[in-house]
Amino acid sequence: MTAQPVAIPERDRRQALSWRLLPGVLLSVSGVLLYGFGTDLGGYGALAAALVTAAVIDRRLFKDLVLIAAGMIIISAVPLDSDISIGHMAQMGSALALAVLVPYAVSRWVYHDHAVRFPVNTGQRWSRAERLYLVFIVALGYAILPFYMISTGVYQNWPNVSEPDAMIRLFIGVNAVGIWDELFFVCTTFTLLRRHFPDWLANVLQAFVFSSFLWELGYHAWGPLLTYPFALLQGYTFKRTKSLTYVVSVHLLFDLVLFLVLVHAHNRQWLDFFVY
Amino acid sequence: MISIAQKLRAARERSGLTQEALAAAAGGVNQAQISLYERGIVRPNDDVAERILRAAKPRPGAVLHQNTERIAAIGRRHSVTRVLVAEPEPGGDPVLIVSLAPSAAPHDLSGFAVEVEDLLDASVEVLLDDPGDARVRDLAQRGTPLLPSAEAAHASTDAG
Repeated sequence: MTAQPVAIPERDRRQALSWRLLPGVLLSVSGVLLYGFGTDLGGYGALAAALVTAAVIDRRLFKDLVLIAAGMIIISAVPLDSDISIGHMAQMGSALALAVLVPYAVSRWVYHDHAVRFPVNTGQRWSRAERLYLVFIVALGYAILPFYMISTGVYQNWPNVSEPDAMIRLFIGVNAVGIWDELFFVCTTFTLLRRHFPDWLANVLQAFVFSSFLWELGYHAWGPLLTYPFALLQGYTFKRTKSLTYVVSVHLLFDLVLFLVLVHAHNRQWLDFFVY
Repeated sequence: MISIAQKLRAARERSGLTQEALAAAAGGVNQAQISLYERGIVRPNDDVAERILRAAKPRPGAVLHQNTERIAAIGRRHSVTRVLVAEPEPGGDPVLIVSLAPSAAPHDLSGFAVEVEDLLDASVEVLLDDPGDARVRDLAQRGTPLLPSAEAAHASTDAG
């Protein structure tokens, strides 16, 4: 006998407390295990459990979780770190590109629902509050990042850059990963989860995967206390603005401060204007 | 899965080295970095991790010194009065140069060697202290006393 998926009445969709929460939580847990703890067995097991339970509970949720899982599996296949050698950047860049392209392509050309979109040109001018928020983000980065990076020593998870070519590669790497974060965690994961959960819950779930990925990149020590709220803020900002361009701008401004802090942390006599 | 942080800490604890001593032995890192690596805050690159693990590998001499009491007990059973630990030649086993009491039986030397090897779970070359043997004399000059300990030997000299 074939198990029939439970039919979900339309009015029940996007409720916080429902059986659909189980695969959603399992997906987040798999992200924490795969990227946060580096336990492949537990991570893939939780991811498989998320898909199986979703298949039983809600076929539409299952289809969307498959897209997120595909991206997560692709990025888990390569070492995620801040190595800026050309070979590693090419390998990691290819995996990150695939992790975004596969869900996008399947959503658009296989599912034909085009749920994954990257809204670059929204036609909306940024409001005064949005422009002020950009300034606030720079100030926030200036206040937190030097203290976090230098007092914990985590800056050593990024390469020591003192030569121009290494600096350029680090700058490109930091910005590329920043853009990718928004493409995958916000425009793909958050967007797909929002189809099944209330916005706040979808945001909470994606932020676990987002901050776990950042942990593996090098945001150790109390990094999650910084990256988890940041991931939540990015999801919330995207929900408000519906603009990839805007959330990417926010992220890249934060990353610009990060880049400058890294250069200073490795070469204390340079850019000596940080307070920590 | 064991993280690199756990692996490094376990290796250092097995070696009996302090973080400072391990940093000095590995070279190119300091105590603070070893601490960050062991706590999982900073992930060392593969080269650095390998260098630290190599430096944390227990040296035969250190293992011998960690087991002084047990070796002393074995020595007492085999009429051993003195043991020197000599640095092995490159690629060689650790060398113990032993002196036997006049009452020692012919098999005491080999018995001592077998028991020490069982204890350390490693090959050890045990030589009888023979001033007439040039190699033994050379090794003994570079050796450090294991039994009796330097302090005990000093005390017994003072008492005498």
